[in-house]
Amino acid sequence: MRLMSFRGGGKTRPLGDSGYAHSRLRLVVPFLLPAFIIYTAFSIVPLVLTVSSSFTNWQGAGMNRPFYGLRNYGLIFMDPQFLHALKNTLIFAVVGGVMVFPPSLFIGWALTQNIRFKAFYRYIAIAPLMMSVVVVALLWKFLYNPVFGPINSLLRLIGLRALALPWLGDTRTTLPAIALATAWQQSGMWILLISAGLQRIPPDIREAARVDGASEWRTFWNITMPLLWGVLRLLLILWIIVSLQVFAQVYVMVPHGGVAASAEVVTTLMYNRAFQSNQLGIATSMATFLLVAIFVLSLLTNWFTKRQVIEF
Amino acid sequence: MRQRIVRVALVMAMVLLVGLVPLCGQGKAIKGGPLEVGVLWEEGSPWYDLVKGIGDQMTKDYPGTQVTYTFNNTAARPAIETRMKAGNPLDVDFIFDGMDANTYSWIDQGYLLDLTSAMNQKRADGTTWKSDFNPLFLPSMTYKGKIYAAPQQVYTWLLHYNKKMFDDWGLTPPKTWDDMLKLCAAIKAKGVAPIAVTGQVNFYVGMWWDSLVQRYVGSEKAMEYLYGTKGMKLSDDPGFLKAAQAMMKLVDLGYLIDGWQGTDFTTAQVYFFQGKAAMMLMGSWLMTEMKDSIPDGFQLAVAPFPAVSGANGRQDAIFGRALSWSVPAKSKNPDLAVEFLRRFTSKSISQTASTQLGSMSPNMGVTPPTGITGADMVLKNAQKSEFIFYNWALATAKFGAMAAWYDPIVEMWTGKLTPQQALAKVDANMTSVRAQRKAGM
Repeated sequence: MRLMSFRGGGKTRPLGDSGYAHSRLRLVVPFLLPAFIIYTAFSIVPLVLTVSSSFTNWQGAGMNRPFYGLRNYGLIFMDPQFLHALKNTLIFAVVGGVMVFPPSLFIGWALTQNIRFKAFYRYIAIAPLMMSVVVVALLWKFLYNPVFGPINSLLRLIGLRALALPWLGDTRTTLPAIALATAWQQSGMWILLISAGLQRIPPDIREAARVDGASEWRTFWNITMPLLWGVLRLLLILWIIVSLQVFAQVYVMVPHGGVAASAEVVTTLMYNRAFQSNQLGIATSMATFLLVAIFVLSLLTNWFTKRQVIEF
Repeated sequence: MRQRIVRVALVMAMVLLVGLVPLCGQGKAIKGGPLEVGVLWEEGSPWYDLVKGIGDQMTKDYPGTQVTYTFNNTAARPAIETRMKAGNPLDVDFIFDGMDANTYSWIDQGYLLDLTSAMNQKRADGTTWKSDFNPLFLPSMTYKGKIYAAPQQVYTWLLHYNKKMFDDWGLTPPKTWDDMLKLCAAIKAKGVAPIAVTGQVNFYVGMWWDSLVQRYVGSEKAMEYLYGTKGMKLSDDPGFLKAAQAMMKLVDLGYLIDGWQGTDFTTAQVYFFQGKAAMMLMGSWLMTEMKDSIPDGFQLAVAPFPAVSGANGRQDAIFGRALSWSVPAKSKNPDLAVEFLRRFTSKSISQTASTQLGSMSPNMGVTPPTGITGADMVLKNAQKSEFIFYNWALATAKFGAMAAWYDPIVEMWTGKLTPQQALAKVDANMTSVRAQRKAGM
């Protein structure tokens, strides 16, 4: 069958290869153009502006941006607050990762089993994902309230008064507490993707392992996990990107960075430098550094977690 | 025909009159037009209504005037300042303070209108707009000899206390730091937390630190340390350590509310008004900010921060600031904006705010608020004492100077650092801030 080009007057004629490509282009470009313009305006241009501003001493007043070379990068690395925020960001990523992966894996696996009310449980597991980050942060802020928060009230009720800590007021617990709230919300996506990954694994592979005498645990580790590895790799990289960019949860739960900046992360410090101190040059150099760090860490993770692809 | 002539003449006379009224007052006619006014208060609050009342009157006085109100308090500042930089400012904004060196760049870069001539213009009675204000607040209005702002109300840090609780228990506000410790012990013995405070905002803990530092070492030395370039260390003056140790006593003796570290500031304030704590060191905005949450029968009283006997600072000094408002150079309607500002900072509006909203006035001859016991005395004393910009103006300082100064003190209060370690950490932080300042000049 040949494509026909439609011309004015209702006449048609067959298209050659170049005519086909041209016609396809005419069809595709109008569809892509709005997305391309929006992407350029809201992603590419800000990215270029951010990176270029990081080499200037932009104080935020007007568009006067004197060239500053690499001095901003020198300044941020001599700033103990930035180094502290960077350390906190990495801790957040690790602690949050530990909080999000094992429970998601377990719940995702449980949701693929033959259990009653599976749809209901799936809805419950995924529900946090549908809530706004700000709502989740406020909800957990209320849960963590040291005096009337339900967590501490419950702990006191069951006689564990010593464990009723000021969760967002203790330098040791603030960051893990925020990481838990973030992991709780993000786990919806993780559970969804892990469940989908598990459902893709043909049941007869696991069945064959069982027939060969493998225990459930061994089947999980030696059969399920390798076959799920592609999904887990993707989720790990996603988590690195999400966690290193965490902002809203911290900003809402501890607007001033927590007690003695115990939960200050790079993005909140960047925001303060940009909009409280008007040090846009410094802030954009932090942003650029974070961008590069995320890129490098994602590449490294991708490289380190590479395994032979198992076709099934 | 005759009737028509009379009607036209009447209309012309009214037009002439409307045009002449503003001319009589200010020397030139003010044209109506759009006017965007910054408001620090939410819609529906008494302050908002007060500001709106001025706008409504302006609309009547200058036909064609359309006043809009834009929230410009802390959370909105980034957006408001971005607008200023982009050449689309609010017409009346709260952006400059002559006591805060960090705000001078707005003037240096030509963003604000010079109000000097408007301030010095003589009225029919020989007074000027400038003469309406207490000279104590002139530094807030001025930069390099010119006036760029008009103060509208004054905030000071005060020791707020529950008067009924104090009266019932026969207690009096502390005059000295020793009194303070005895008072806290007496309150604690009654089963109430002596002090409400939040650990979530470093500068609220910092109020205690700054006040004690001022009392022990004096403001000149503190400012020299914070903004000087001599590389001074906190150990150079034993007063800093004494201040930290005095502050630490409040924690060691259990005088703060339970869970203060994780309690946000609104909750801490609610605890105070619910009688769960007897005192709170807070800005004088507390009364108006919490007006809707104050239970019936609660009697609020204030006292200055206690003096420290034999210490080096001025023992009657108070921290505070005058909220000063400016007109941007790129205001769409500068004459109208200046007129709004003139009315907003007038004695009559200030008196209304003082009487009805309990605010402290920067104007001369305004009766102090009566709803808060002790407020009149604090303000009266302030006029002859040292008036220090609160937080030493660190809130707008660059390179994270505020966190560098306060965070180790908060850590000290949490028990993570000893006073000596906290001071060493402040020194390390400030050394870095100074180095960054130098490198980033």
